[in-house]
Amino acid sequence: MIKNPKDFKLGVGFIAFCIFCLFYLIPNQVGGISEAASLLPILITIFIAALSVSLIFSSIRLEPAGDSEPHPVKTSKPKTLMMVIGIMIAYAWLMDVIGFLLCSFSAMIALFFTFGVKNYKKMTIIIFVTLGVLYVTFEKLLMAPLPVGSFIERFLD
Amino acid sequence: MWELLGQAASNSLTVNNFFGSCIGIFLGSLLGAIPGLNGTMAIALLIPITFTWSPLFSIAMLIGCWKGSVYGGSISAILLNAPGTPEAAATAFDGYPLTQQGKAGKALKMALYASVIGSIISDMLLFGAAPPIAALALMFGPPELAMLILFALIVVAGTGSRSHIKGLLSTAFGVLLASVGLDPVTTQRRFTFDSLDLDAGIGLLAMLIGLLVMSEMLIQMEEGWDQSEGKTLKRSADPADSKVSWPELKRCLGTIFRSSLLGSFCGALPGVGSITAAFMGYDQAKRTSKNPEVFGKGELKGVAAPEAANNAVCGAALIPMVTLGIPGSLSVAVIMGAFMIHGLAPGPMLMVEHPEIIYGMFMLLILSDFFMLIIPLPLMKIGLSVIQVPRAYLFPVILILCGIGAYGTHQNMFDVKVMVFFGVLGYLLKKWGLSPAALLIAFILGPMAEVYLRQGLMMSGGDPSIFFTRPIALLFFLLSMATVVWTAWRRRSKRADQA
Repeated sequence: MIKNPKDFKLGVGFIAFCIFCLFYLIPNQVGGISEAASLLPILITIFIAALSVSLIFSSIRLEPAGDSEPHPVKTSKPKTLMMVIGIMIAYAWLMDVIGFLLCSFSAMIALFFTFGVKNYKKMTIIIFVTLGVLYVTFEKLLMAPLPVGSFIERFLD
Repeated sequence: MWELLGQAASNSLTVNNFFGSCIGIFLGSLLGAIPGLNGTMAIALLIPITFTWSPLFSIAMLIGCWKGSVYGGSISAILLNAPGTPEAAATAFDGYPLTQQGKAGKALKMALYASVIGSIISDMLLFGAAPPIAALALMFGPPELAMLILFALIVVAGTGSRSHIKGLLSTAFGVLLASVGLDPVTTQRRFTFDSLDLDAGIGLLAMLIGLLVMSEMLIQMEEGWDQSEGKTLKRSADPADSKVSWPELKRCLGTIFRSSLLGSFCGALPGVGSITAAFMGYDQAKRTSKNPEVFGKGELKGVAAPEAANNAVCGAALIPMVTLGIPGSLSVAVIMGAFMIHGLAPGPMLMVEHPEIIYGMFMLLILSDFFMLIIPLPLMKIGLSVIQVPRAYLFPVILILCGIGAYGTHQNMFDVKVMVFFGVLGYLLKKWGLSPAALLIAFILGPMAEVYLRQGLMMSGGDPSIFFTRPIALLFFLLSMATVVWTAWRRRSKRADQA
């Protein structure tokens, strides 16, 4: 009988990860066992596997401690969470295409709407101040160019 | 000696140098508080301005900037859980919970006092014991450093996770992630999936911002906040929650003193640095506490310890530079460059040829500690008003700052993707009870551990006994094993008590 199913699943997941690393990832992405570059990844993977086995054993033997789960799963805002992750993924991928200003502007608007902000005046001021400060700091003070975006570059050309 | 000190004092203790030090501290604190900009960048930005100024004025400004940036990192770490600099990451563990309890002012002031005390202790050590400490640091070869880092890794495994196995798992996973990129010895590609972006490895700052900031935002979003009431992080109306009382400071003094010594020791060792010192300082505070369970929930010692340790690195990191000409950290390497630009070659001869500059620098260092008590106060006030902003307005700004902070270091969009990836991973790690903090510090120490391990093996022709036969290396190995056994025993006895 497993007393802590969550840790049991975690241990099994890590063992699967270690098997994947040892038999596929390390041979293909690093090199053979005899190569010096493989020494640390192999040692660490074996160590992770050993720890995973001990995690599985402890999950079978021991009940979860009352405070062992610092962030228990709550589902009060799953939609907001998924929306924010989606916006951030789109932000990271689209900045290359549409540039810092347009991308950050769109991402901030999307984030404000996701969080239920309805005061458009405040929202606009915050967006312009944030982007303005960042633009001046990076472009003018630090001379660190912000991405213009391939689409915008082509459009400007 | 007294004549020399008098000459150094008349050279260094001038209004101009005080002014330089104050400007440096202000700029350093400001830049340090912005995630994505760190002390090294701030110093590098200032160096071109100092070309034509006197060496002592320039050094006063650069050192002030460095010290200010180390403290500045803690402002955003405490207020937003977004460490401005990597060395402030450990400060966020207890600093942010204090902010959530409405005690941001208290946390910021404790961080400031601990930073100043740590800095003074370290500068005193530099002043009095530079040559013997440098000689001790020189006794550390690759095997000793490898074992020191092993000890540090075992120590940090106890950070953040309540299960020792999960702490060790997080640490090991961090070391594995650190092996992504070019092999440090053979430059062979590892886990790069043929991507040029991964050749240099995973960007530290991008990973740090993702793991600590974005993941925390996701956790808070999921837990939800009441749109009508809980929009802002509350600030306590009790004035006692905005200051540090003498009994509170007295309670933390032992921790601050120990962390300062630890930080000074780490600073004197080339390559170990303030990030390691901060995490080790935090861990020693937790281990020596009678109530370790309160750490991570808003314990003042949890703010004081890492801040004292990371600021204590500053003075001590100058020891190998001044005495041996070896930069102890990246920031010191940049300051060393400034010395050279002014025609001063750091090393043993500098003490002989320009003692007035060296002793003048020592005096300015100590003086800058006292300026540190005043200069960052306006920034603290601005920061405190930021937390009054409703979270629905604050979170989008922080998320965009995360993106641009990740981009800023290398001006590379790949780092923004890395930040988002680690944001989601950090969220999942927290859900699984693993420790993003342990993973992060292992990621930082991992490459050093590998280099020293392999250098040690090269020294011995592949014989691993070199790590167990040299006295200092053996000492650290035994300490590591003792830590594992002690931690396991303590957790077991705690569990037995609960049962």
